[in-house]
Amino acid sequence: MKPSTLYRLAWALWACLAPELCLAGGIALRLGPPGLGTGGPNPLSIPPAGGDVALSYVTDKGVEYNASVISLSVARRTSIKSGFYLSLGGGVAISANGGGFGPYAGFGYEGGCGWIGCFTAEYQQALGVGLGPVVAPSALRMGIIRWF
Amino acid sequence: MNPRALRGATGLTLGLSAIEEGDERFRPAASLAGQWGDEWWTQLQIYGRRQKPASQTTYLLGGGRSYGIFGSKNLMARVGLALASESTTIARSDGDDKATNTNVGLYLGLSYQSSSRVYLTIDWGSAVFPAGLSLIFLSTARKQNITAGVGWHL
Repeated sequence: MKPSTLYRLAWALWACLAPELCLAGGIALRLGPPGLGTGGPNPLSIPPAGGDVALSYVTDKGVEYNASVISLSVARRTSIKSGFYLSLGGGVAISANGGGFGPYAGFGYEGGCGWIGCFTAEYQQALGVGLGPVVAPSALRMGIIRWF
Repeated sequence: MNPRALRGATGLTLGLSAIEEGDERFRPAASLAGQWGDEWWTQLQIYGRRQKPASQTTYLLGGGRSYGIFGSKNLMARVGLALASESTTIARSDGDDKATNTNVGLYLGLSYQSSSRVYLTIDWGSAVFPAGLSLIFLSTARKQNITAGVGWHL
């Protein structure tokens, strides 16, 4: 590997480890039990299990990338950084009965900012068609979003 | 999101719904919806089944505000309250055994409506109900609906 390639790789790694050098935006960590088509979500585990955790990366242009046990999705938000918002997009929906591609929607709120970040709550729902029956996972989650 | 006026005002919609209750089984339902003024909506959905000696009927009533989103005149977010009433009756020779449960929750949904006097609607929303004290741990019950309908502005 040429030194210039190594330099570029090192720079890319550094840029992603230092978020302020990447696109401006926010990272949200939300906790809540998923509804995976088994009759409804169980109460949130203490400590939270892996399926109870959802991560989102939101750009300052209002595009968000979501990853959780119910879906991997890309969506566009009506607003960022304060108040109520809606996210609408698409991706992969996953449940206990299968999975598939389809629309994703999130109804959320952001506010009450502190030194750690801002409070955020979101109800997420998705539809998936393609692998087995139509799946319709959902989750009500709360957590923190930190803008940088 | 700012409240936006859609074309026309009061409208009535008849439709068919597929309602899912957390188990990914979609139940057929009849839907009657109203659009009041520019920003308010209501919806009644009725569904159930009869399998002797038991019969089950659910009324799902929702209502609230509509908000135009992403600058569209046709695509709306719908936020409001939902009321569910579920009745189960078991016929017995010594008299029917009937139980009714009601619950109040939050409605969150999306709606697409074409711009014409006779219009088409497609709704996708969820009525989210608190699952008793387990709501503290974010446990909910929900009734999700996918509805297609035909309406007309009065």
